Amino acid sequence: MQTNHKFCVHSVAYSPDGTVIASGADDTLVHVTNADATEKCVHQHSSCCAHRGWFLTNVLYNRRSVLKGHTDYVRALQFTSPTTLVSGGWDKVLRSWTRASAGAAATE
Amino acid sequence: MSGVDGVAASAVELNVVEDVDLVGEAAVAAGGAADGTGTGAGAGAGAGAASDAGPAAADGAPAYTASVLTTCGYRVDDVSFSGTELVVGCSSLEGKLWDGRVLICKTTGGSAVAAIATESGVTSVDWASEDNVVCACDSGDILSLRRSVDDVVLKSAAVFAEHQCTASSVSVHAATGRLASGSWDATVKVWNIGASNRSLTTFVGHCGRVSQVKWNAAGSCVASGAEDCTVKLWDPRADSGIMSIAAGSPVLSLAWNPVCDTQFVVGMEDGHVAVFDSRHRKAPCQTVVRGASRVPC
Repeated sequence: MQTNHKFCVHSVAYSPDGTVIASGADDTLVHVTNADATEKCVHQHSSCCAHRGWFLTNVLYNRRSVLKGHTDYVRALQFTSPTTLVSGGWDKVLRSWTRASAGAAATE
Repeated sequence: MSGVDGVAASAVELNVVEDVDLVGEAAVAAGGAADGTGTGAGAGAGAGAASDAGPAAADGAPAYTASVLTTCGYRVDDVSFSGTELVVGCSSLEGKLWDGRVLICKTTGGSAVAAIATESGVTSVDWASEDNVVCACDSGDILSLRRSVDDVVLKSAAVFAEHQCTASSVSVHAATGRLASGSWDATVKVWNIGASNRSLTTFVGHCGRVSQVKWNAAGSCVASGAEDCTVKLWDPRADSGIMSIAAGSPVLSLAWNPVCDTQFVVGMEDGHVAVFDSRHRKAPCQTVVRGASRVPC
């Protein structure tokens, strides 16, 4: 199931080790993706410029975490550790998101 | 003009610290009393959402657990991390008085340990050192804020007032003491934080609002993303642009890869998130989150 940002992406952040990319948008969602999951895909998007011609495969979409909780635009993202992300938005709340350990994720 | 009213600010500062020190459910009751209905509603929604947010993972994506750090009372526009503390820039954007706040919080949540009220909304914040933060304001001013070790108030130490329009972003390269700022006046300026409140360099080249500027880790390059659909890289020593990269949609956010000084990720108005590599100017970049359709915001 694809759950892409459909609105302005006003915040992006890399984790300190450069392995994870987070993006926050006006759809109130925060997406977290492995940076190494950004494989080039063969689909060419004809209406875009050359820089936009390469997209992810569906498999890689499925590895994205979607963080739901904000109730208004997400405008600020900041990693405080490789596994912890702080987000803020126009709902006036500062949230912290902590990634489950590898063992816990594997059991799901 | 000064972004901070020194006399009024010191009076408000104490209120900020009392009113904003709200966490989780406590904010529902106290927040409403402190800042009117807006805060109370926001905090209530926040606490509810956090409790049922649960793991959002599917198909092997890592699960994340949510918690509410603090309720700011103002709309959060930017957060920056020093290694030990968070600085939060926020704006009112309600009613007739569009003022702002800068708060310093612990990563464990809880009370704001220091705060200042600003005359206009705060669009961007960054750390210059442990006791010095820099913020950009809707008025176009850039403020350097200091705190003393045992003090809960921030004080305006310097004002950088050259931008003609809203200053949208600031970025500090701590090792060199250089500050980069971007503005809706389409310019990028570089300043020396400690030395002078006159800019060292003004980069002209964008033909739209600059939405975000960021130093790379080495401090050798400033990247600026703008609503003219380009990302431009600037060399502060050469006083010139290095390259301009077409992003295809207005660029709203930008972050350098902390371990690879040639890569940066860009967030765009149409919902795309793309990774660029400055070594491969002509090569396709990678789009990591693809927007399904263009929706005006």
